[in-house]
Amino acid sequence: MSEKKISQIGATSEGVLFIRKLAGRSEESGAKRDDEIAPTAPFKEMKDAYRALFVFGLIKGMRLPTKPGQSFSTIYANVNMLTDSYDYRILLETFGKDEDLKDIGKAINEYTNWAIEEIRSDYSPDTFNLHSEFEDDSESESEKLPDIIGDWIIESQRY
Amino acid sequence: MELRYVELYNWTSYWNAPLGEENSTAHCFDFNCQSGNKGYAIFGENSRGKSSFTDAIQWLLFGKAWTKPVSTDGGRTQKKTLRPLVGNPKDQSFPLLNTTAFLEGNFNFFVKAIFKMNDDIYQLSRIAGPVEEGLVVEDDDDMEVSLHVKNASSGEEWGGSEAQDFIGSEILPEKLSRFFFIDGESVTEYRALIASKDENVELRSNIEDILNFPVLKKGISDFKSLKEDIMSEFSSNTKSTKKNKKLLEQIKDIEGDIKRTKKSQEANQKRLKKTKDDIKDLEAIMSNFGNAEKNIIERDKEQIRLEDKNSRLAELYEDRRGDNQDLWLFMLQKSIKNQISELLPELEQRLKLVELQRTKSTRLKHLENLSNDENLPCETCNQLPSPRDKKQIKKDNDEIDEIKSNLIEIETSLDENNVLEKKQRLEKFRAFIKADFSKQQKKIDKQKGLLEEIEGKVSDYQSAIDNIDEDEVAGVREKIKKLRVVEADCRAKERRDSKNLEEFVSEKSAKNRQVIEAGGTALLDKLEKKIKLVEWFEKIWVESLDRFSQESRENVESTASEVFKQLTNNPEGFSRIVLNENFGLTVLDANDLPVQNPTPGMMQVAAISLIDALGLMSNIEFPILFDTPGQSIDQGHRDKIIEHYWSERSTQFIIIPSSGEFRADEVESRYQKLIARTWELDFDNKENKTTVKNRVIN
Repeated sequence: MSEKKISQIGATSEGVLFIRKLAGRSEESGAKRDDEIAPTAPFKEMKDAYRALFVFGLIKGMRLPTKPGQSFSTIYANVNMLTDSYDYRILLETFGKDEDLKDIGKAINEYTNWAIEEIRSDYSPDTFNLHSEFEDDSESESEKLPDIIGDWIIESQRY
Repeated sequence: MELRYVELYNWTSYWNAPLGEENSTAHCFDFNCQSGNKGYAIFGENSRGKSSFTDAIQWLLFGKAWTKPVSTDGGRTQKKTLRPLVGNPKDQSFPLLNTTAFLEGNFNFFVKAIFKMNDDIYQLSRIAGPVEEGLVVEDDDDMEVSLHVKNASSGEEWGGSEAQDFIGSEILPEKLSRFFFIDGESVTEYRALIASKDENVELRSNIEDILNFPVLKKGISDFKSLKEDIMSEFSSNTKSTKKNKKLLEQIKDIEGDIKRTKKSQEANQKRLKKTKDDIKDLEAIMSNFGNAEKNIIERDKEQIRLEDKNSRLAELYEDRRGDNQDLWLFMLQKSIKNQISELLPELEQRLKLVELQRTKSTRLKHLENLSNDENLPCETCNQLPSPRDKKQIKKDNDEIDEIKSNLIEIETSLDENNVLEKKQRLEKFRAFIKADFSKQQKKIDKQKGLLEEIEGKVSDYQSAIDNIDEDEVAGVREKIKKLRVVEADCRAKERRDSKNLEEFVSEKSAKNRQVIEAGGTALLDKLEKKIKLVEWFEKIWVESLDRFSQESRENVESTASEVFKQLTNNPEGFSRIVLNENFGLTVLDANDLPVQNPTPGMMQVAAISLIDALGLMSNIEFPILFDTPGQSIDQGHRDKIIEHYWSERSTQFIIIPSSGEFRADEVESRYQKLIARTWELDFDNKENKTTVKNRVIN
């Protein structure tokens, strides 16, 4: 497999403003808090908002392809600044499409931008309920998932 | 005096529709009758509005209606409270306005009655309604009550306090009403007279009122005052002996003190009057503001609530922001779980391969060991292997090659599809998310709902006071508050001055007596005779009062005894009723000895006899309304009470028996010749209202 290109993390200028709004930031760049919107904003950090929007787009399987010549404003210069120690590649491998892995940063941006456009126009801090579609009312996991410890014992006997 | 007609509109359980609509006709009790009989009865099951009828007449006359007496000390005493004009049924405050009407937004109610007195017909009405037409009434502050009395014969009319004074002086004084509105439950008060000397001070005062004692008692104090005046005159004219000179100087000093105290009293009274006037003026200003002050207070209260709820909402938003740090992980959980479940078959397949790999590796190791050393025992069973021939050795070597080849295939397959690694990578996203996002959202929604509700209230209160200068209202209230302090000071000073004055007058009186004892002239002799004469009159007055009290008591005793003997089932067993100076009541048996351990029934009958006797002594002709007349007594006594009142009394007598005391048809057939009218009250559960049905009309 060839080396995957890793882009910066960002959004359209409107998208960046929206993410700033979700985290109670003013429209100006930087971390400046907007006293008007911050008290009711649903997120503390832009990273929390960005991650939630990315997962929304990814699980829905919807990317908003970058238009030719369209430029994105950078939010994080490096994808690791968004993912921290989490392995976002496996998320894209599992829930995304094969081409997502060609440029992970681009894929993350496009999933997120779809989510931004999806909720931006109807957004209100009082009705924000991204969680509602993701409630899990199935049986508890212990009844269904395989015994991870058992896996490890068998696997370790290979060597 | 005769009660001719009573109308109730939206009075307690007597529901009516708004005036002009169907069912808006007031509920009527027509007391007119051709027979001239005086017996009336209102029958009905419990909670049908029977007692409300008595309450209605009392409210019409005195503007007050009370809750049923409730004992908070195990029955020793009973307390009752004033009923509000309006109230929501859920508050259980026993309001006077029908609660269905209240909920329907009809806040008008009234009681009207027609009385005949000395050939004149009097129309009385007490009407309650909102202070402003169309106002949605919340409590009594939003209501006003008006009283109106009209002499239909002469056309004279009275309203407000004049009408109230007319009722008190011409119809029935409020303090004597207890002798005409008799309640089986309140008869307990009279029974307390039999048991104790200390209780029911108010009741004893009412009994003295009905016997005109207060007027006579005032006469005694008037004589004392007159004597003091003459003694003062005497002192000022007494001859100047050395001793008298000294005494007169002292009297002069005391008079100075009295003068100063009186001056101080006058000044204080002026100050008190001015303060009271000022308060009255300010209260009038406050009343011009209507409910503004209340609305300001309520608005401020709601604003504090609003701030509190806003700060709680801010906390909830802050919590949400904290929770939403994990929102992305939460959103992944369901998909990750499903994904891992989907990996299960592959995982099982892989485990099988791993197991196969292990088995083949063991076999390979065994065969390779055999090749190295034929005498190596088996690793599993520890037995020496059977000796191998060449053929067997070749076969084993072939198997070794095959196993090696298989193991390479298995290894490749395991390396190419590492489902376990994938599962483990996905597992790293598995997390227990403590936050309950739905609950959090519901909390926010609920809090916002509460906020909207409170904001609505604040806005309502604010719009009600938009045209009010709040500073002015607060200023007026502050002034009233300060004046109340002044008023309290004045009253305290008044008490101090009165006490001082009393002491000075008493001291002066003692000195005057010393002066008189020191000798006199012709003028002084005359004054001394005057004093003696006044003292003589005073003595006669006191003796007369004692005699009058004694005679009054004897009259009450005699009448009460007579009634008691008529009412009791065992007239031969009792001699009479006696009253002590505090109107403590004792029943004497046939041997003139006090009855030991009287039964509740006997005490009830004795109490009713006393009430009846006092009513007769009052010389007031007013219908007697007896609610639950049969309480605590047996059927025999009940029948005697009815017979006594309906046949022996010249006034109308209305009984309102509780269900179980009397059966309507039995009473009507037995006392057909004594009955004027009877009614039956029913309660329409569907419409939640009392209905009045005429039964007997004689």
